[in-house]
Amino acid sequence: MSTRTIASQSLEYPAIKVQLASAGVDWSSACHVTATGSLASALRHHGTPAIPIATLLDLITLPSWQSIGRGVELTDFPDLAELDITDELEFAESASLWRKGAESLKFRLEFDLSRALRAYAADTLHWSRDAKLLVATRREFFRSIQGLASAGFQPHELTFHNKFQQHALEAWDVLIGEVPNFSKVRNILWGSDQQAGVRSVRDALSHVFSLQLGRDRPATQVILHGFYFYTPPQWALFQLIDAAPSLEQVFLVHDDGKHPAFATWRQFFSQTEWRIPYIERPTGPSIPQIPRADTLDRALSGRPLLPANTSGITITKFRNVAEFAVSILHNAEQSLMYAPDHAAMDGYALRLGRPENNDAVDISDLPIGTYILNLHALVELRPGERPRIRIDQQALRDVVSSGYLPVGGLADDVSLSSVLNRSLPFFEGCDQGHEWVERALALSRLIRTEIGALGGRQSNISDQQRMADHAGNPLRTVPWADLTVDEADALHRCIEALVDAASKIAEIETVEMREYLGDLRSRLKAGMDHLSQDVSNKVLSKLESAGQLDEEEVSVDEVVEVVRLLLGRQVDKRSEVPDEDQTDKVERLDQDRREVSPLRDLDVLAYFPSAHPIHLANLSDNSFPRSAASVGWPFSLECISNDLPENLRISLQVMQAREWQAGLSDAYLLHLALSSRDPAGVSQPVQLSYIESLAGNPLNLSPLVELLTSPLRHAADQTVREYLGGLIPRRDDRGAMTTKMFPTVEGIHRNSDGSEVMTLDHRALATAVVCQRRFALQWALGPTASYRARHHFLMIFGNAIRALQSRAVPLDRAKEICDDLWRFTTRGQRASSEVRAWTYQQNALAWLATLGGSYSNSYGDAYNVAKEVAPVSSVSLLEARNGALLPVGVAEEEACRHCPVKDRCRDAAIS
Amino acid sequence: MDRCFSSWGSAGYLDYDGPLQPMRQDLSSPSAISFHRVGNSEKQAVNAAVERVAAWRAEDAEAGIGILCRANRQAGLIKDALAREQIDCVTYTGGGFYQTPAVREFRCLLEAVNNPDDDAALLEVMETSWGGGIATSNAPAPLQLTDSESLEWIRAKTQLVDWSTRVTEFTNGSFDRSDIQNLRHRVRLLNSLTRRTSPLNLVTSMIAGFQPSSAAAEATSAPEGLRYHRCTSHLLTILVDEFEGGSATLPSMLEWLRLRIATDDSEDEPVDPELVQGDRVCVALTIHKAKGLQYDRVLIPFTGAKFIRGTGKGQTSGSIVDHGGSPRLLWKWNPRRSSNPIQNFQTSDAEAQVDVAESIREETRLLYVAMTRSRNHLVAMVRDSPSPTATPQSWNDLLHMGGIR
Repeated sequence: MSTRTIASQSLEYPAIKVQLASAGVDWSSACHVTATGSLASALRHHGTPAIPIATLLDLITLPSWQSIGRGVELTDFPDLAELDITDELEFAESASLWRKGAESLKFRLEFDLSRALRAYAADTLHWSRDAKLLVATRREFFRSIQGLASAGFQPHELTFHNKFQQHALEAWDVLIGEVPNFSKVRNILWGSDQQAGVRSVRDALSHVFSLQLGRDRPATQVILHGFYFYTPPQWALFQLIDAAPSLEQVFLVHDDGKHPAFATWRQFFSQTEWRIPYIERPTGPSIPQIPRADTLDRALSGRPLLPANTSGITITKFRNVAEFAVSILHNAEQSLMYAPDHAAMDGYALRLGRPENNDAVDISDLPIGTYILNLHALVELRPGERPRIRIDQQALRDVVSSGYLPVGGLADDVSLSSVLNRSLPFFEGCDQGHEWVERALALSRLIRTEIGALGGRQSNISDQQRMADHAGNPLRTVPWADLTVDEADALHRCIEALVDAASKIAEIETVEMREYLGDLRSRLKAGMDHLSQDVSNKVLSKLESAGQLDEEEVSVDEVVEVVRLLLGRQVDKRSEVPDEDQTDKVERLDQDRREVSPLRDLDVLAYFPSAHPIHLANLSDNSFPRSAASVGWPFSLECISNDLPENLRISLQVMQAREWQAGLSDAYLLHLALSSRDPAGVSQPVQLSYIESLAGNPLNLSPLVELLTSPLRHAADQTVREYLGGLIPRRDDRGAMTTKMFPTVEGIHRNSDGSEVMTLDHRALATAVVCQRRFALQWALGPTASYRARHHFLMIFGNAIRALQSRAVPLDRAKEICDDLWRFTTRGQRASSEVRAWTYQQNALAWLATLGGSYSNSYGDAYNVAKEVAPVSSVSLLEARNGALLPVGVAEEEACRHCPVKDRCRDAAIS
Repeated sequence: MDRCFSSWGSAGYLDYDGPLQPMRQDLSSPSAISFHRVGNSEKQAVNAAVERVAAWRAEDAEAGIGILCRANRQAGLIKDALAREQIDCVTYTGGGFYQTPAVREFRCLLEAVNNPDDDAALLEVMETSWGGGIATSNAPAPLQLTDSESLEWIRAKTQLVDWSTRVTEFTNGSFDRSDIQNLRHRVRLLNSLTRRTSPLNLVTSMIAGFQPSSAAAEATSAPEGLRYHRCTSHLLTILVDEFEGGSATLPSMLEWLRLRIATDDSEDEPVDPELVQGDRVCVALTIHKAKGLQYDRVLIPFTGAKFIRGTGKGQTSGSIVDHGGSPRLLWKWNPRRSSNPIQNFQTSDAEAQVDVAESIREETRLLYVAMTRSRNHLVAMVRDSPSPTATPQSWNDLLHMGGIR
């Protein structure tokens, strides 16, 4: 019916009610719609029923979505009686039915889009390179086209600049036809039947605010709070409200007509061509401001900052995220923290500052989630072919370390992770599941026969025996041969079990999703017995999002897709347009243990005083003020055609304005923080901080905040400095280091003279001549004495053949065994190694102990000990300084060159 | 300075359209830039640099001084030479992060927690700054152990014997490892926490609970402790970027870190920003690191190094160039035992010519960056004359092109 825009220099509650009353707006009978969830929540907390606009958009669109079974209905959302309660948890509880239904519909939309896109990629693009890229990046793509569609655009209104964009536009066109729900938001907000949209708005507002609308009744006012900028779908919604009979739309604008911090309001509310009316300024009693309300104005216009302007404001420099996190730990004032890129800051704060508060668990982080995700990822889906099982080493390692792979008959002393680490080189080149199984079987046979015959690895024997067996068996110089029979069998069973489990998924022709998800749920539940019931339920509730798929018969590729959607890595949530993805506060309650809130939550300060000091963090030149990109990958604003109907022309202009005005929006939020007051009207302390070094990049203070600093920080002229005023950034030196701890090492109490250690195999002892630490890590205490670098494997091959001959194995047979054991190398590599082998049968075993020997250096000395040319007594293992748990490494490049424990030695020289 | 830049712009080595406005008044003054003649050797350049920095320090103890070098090694040379003259100087050069003690010790921690059966890993981690935390009598709160786990922790009191004792008491053919059992029990407890929280959460809990930086500070020095702290914090941000939201497991994290330590020398060690910019600092740094930084006085000591060096004996060199829209590798090998290098291109090939031209452009851009880092005074060390070639071979040649006086 009509729209008004009312401005005030202060929106403070409850004084604003009086100001509005003077302009004929009745606060108590109006519907309140806010730009953010935080503002809606704050209004509800103070007794004013309100909902954020994101929720209103859902309310007017979702009930018309097609659904399998029950979708969502307006009545699922709480009405005024429940909205009126000030307890957010109670409200969240009453909105849970709506929330679950909405999530389920949105999940279904993502699934349908994905299904349709894959069909298009296969049938039309024939899995071309572009098709694969489009499918691989589908979540970003869907987000972009959903954004454009909600801004009113259709594919034909965009032009492409390259082939990929062309395919993306064509795909978008296909998705519109294949997935009806995709266009619902656009149809309601931008469709030709405006009356249908108007009805949806009326119905939604009538239900939520229990309105009695009618021609014979006075118009109900809808007050819109906090829109210092708006987006195209919001603009379209405003037009529907405007067109609704019996509704009067009132924008409440924070503006005194002159302060530069309010410029963004003026940009969005003085555009007659956008059909948003000019600002009215009611004449009411003015609300007194604190001196700091003037601070940003002075700074922006270059006027001196008076002491009163900067009183209570501090600017803090943190050297790194750890210092920032520690400051949170010391946050005795219980400051409310806000930051750009708040999720990252919150993560740092929780991880480094209060890890004990960080109980958020994602399924994909838990071993059971790792197991299930990796298991599904093993199923390779190739267009036009049957699914195959493809194993990569990382996935295998992750699956095994999860502990959930059912491997029967595992002996107590067999650690599959350790076995896998030693044996993986042998599986190089294996790809398909059956190749892995065959090779595991071959390894098991080799361990039992060839390696066993020369002294295979055994458990429960003395160190002396272990070293002698190992040093005497040239094949055990490579780690995949250093397995016990039990370990080799377990590895075979493990790989078989993995391939079996993945094959069960791959063999699915079709399955009912309800059945599959039920099974998934019970497996997840069983895998979370270490978690509290609360956390476990929260994790499992994620599966409810797939409720709309219950009746669906899905194929194997769709099973894999659903599991990825449910358990997998989320799309980067950092929206291209900061703060526009505003969710209802209610939906975030379960995450409310956060330390750092989004910057946009500061909008609450325009209405309500803050009971706590304010801390704005991460105000570096890299992050504040923020930039905004309205159109996501693979498109850009330039793709949108200029030949547009009126509504879409405005939509485009709104997007452009948003991009251009993003910096001003942040200036407004900074102003709100600087002018914040406590409930008694006294200015609240405000801390502005930034991190000087983040992810290795040196950062500077934000230029906007820099304006508040003294321009002559180092000038000697005190008078000029005092005249200009301004703050001097300080360092927070509370530091992170509070406790000093050292391990305790027991004093020496020798019961023997140490001579017995010299009875160890001389080839093992010889390594101590090169480096005592190597002996300790490789032979004495480490999990295997074998070499582990690939270039060593190739060096060893030819020499191992000769060493086998020294163990009375005929040459042909020796070659046969080594070819079998080094089967993952090429024939050329083996031939080269054989040609380059320089040992004789007699010295081969000694040489293998050191991989060096002909030089007059420590390797030469060690070789002589290994060859029993030099006496074992020349090795002193007791030279380590007293109190050291391990001998100090020599840390010389030459000594470390052939060291098999180089990659796990703290002291190793790294060239 | 503008004359230099304009001449490079005219020769096509630099995209330069004249000075930015507003121009710094200092840059237009005759004293803003000067060229000092030095001999051809690196040593002479180092000595001249030390002399210049000493003079600047004597003139103004408050000035921030930047010494911009082409390579890490040169920055190290300057720092050492200044240290001999008792002039404080820090280096700010690239790479080296994954080889710092904090990262290598973190690898030890992961190694032990990933496989508590590995005795060598258990003892190795106890040697590091993490050891004290693991040995502490009560489980640190950030680990969030349950009551029964906390009790287990207390019961598994960790007291280890030193290496000498372990060797001396070798009896019946075996090392006595009984002292490691309790430690193993504690580390197993840590490992088991991954069943209810993410490995990243576990890592951060351990950082908070075991406070390795404190131990590093006590064991070495406060600045080393701060360095340890910086590096641990930086590593955590990298781990979060790399693993958060994906399927992070201890083995995958360990494997990733091992690889980085062994092969990645490009990640820069984070520095204390106060040491590399601002007043009173004296920093020897590479030009790549100097982007975005400014100093009151800037010295460019090494200008004689050739852009394109010959391929030494036993060495290979290569670059990838554009070959009609597809990449072409220009490759050269100079075998030790042969007098003729082997290469897959002719010097006269168009791509090779383009490669040389691009190298000159890249070096010109670098020199431009170096010359625009000073607020008040820039000194470049140059040789008496340029190379007698048509195209510039070194920064010295570029500066002569600009008509130095």
